[in-house]
Amino acid sequence: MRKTKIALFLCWLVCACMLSTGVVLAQNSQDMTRSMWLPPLDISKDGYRSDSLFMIVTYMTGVLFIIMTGIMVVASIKFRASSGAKAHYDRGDTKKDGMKGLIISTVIFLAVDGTLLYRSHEDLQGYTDREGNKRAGVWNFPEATKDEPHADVLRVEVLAQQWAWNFRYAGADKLFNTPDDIVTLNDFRVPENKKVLVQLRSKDVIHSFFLANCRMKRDANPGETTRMWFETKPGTAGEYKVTCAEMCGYAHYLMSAQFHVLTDAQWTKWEAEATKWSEIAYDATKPDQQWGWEWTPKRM
Amino acid sequence: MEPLIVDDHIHPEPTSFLAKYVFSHDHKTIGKQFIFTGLFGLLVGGVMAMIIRWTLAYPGEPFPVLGNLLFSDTNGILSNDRYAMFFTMHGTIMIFFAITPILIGGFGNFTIPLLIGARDMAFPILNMLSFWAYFIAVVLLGLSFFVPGGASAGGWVAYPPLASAQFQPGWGHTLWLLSIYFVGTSSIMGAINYITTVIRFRAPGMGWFDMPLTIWGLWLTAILNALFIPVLTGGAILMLLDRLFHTNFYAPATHGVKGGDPILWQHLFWIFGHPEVYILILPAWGIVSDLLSFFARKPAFGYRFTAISMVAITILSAVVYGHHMFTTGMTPMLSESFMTLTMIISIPAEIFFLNWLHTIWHGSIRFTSAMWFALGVVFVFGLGGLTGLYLAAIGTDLYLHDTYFVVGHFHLTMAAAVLFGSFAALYFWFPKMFGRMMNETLGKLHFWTSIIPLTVLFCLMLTVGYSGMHRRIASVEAYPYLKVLQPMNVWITISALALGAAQVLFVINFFYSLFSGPKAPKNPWDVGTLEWSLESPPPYYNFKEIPPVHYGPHEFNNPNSKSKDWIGQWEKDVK
Repeated sequence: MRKTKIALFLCWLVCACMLSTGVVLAQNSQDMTRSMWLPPLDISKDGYRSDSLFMIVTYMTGVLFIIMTGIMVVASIKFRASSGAKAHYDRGDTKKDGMKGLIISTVIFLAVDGTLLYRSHEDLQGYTDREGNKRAGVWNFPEATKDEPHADVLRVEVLAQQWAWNFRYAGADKLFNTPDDIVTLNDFRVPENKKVLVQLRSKDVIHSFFLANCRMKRDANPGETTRMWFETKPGTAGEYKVTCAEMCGYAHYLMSAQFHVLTDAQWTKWEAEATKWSEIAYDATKPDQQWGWEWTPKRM
Repeated sequence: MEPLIVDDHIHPEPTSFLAKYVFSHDHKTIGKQFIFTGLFGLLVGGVMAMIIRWTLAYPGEPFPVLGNLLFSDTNGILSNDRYAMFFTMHGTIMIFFAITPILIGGFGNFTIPLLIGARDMAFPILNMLSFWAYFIAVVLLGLSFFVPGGASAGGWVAYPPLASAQFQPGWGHTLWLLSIYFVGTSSIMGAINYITTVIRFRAPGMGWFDMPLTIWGLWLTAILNALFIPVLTGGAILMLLDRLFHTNFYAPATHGVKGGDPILWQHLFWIFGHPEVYILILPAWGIVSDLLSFFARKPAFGYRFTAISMVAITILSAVVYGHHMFTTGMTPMLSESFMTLTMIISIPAEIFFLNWLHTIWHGSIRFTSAMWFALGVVFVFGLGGLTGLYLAAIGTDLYLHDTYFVVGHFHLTMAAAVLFGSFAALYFWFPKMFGRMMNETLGKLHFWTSIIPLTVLFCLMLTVGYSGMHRRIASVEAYPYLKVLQPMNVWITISALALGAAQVLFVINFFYSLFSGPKAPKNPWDVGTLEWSLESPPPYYNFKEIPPVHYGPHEFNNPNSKSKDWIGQWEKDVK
């Protein structure tokens, strides 16, 4: 009995240490000197849902894991044949045993999986955030199905290729694939605190547009157009990365783009300058340059 | 359906070397052929993993010893373009050429007839052909390393268009597809045999719920194999047609090409791919369910419910595959349906997991090597299974997909749980297979020196993935925000090397015991399943007379049994 108590105490101690370490490390940190235990800085308005869901799952499964390990450790010590433990002949096949197992499993399912399903459903279809604002959710973004561009939503076309990212902004005429488009290579710029709606295609193989700082990714497939939207928080102006998250060939590990989040002033300045440069670079005789497509509304 | 009334006819024993050891029809020999080939695959796949980890932790440094041998043209370093080939082949080899042959080809073949009281499989010649089809697959995959352009390099999932002739020209990936085709054929042949044998060749008196749970696991695996391998081979044939005959099944709708869709492959592949992971783990679940009972000297708690849960999981595994495709832009309705169904699998999994814990609770546990590994499976599968929840929830999957979190998850469930299940089976049935005992001290040392680095290594992968490191990258040089994770990558590599080194203990133990181990008695573990009533190793015909079965496989400490704490399934009227 004493050995069991010691084993239980040690288990508790290890778990307490691990949990406290987790709590300490959960204090936020800047991107460049960030903690290696935590995701990169979250600059989006919806990203916290992913992080908090991760933590919720961790606490719940952590408890289950600790209980399971505890049972195994205690059983291994208490019921050793070498210390004379006698086995109970219990087949566990009565209706009562079956019901007990089913009930425990269902309760765990409703508590853990139920929470995950409910929270994910909200993340996807729309929810009310911590400040009381209604958020559209990953899939219910209303502007995605609108034909007319909305002043609050920046539309960007992204063409992935081996092994670079091409970006296209509609420019003053609000139409894509026209001479006044801003076209960049590996240079994704967005204003902070504004919704960005991205349509994605690939020139060749399947790539995936991963914004780790927004906790969001979407595949870019050849022959079809996928969609993704995100919104950065105010005050997050800075430099981040676009990552390719689908194996796309031997230089997949090098495929990244600069992701600049700009203040309003920086954005206006850049938009004007970039339009000028794009107009200079525009060459009607190069059809490859006109890789853009007519923006057709598509549900998320 | 009533079991076949088996006639007592025993075929004459084969005499020539070829008939006995090469083209044998005997399920025991075929099982051993699969196991040895599989262990070789495990070695190759494992060394590749060491090289991959070395490259990630110590970029620019040549891999010790083997580096200059394998990569003489790049100063002993795994170059970035070869890296893709290595992780592709590591995955392919581990899944199809290590675990499949050891657990399913090897233990499926060896144990099924013995544990159900049959002389051999229903179709012995088909059984032999299944090994040789598999052998052809091994040769084809081996050849693919040596063709110009090298082996397949688009990930083991081989998504087109990267896997098409345009982006991976040459014979490397074509040979990969042909190899998969032969592995698939071998698995289907085996499935036909296993399914039929279990239904029709059980000894008189052995009802469905008197079979060892090992047989349940292997039988359900065979059903999944029979249903879903054809989908893989079908999809592979379409890709072969695209590569060799310029059809357009997976061609994207660009440049005026009509009718194809690269996403078609993803659907076909994952319709197979998800059941495949259950194919790999069901035998391990069955084996562990039995071993926990055997070495806790208690009946397997809730046997019927465990069997029914395994059936439920088998059925559900067919309808959850979309959780591998949440980021492809599937409709929300489809995605959420897959999410919900994936989570529902939790319920039967939890039921038999609870039954495992209940089996050892109030037992009288004998800590043999096999038992340690069985307990190890419970631990790592508990951990790995729980990490699956993060990926089932779309809210977290959109961040975690294609990061090392996924890699950590599937290695905990596959490389840890399935591998430990294989080791448990090897330590447990070695005496019956080879007539000798393995060394128990080395076995326990093998367990502890494996499980500690393994847990560290794959849990750190979970954290590295959560911290944003995506997968299938040869180095982090393009991503400054990942450089901070380098200490973790180094620790993962050190743990991986330690895990690799620990396997030397197993190799020494296995091969030394094979030739010089102490002779094994009939029943070294005091267990009641039918194979332990035979000599070690059994005669080629297994049972002189097919034993009528009167008891279940887990009759330990039955109050009716006074002289010993177990009852053999073949015994009658035990008092």
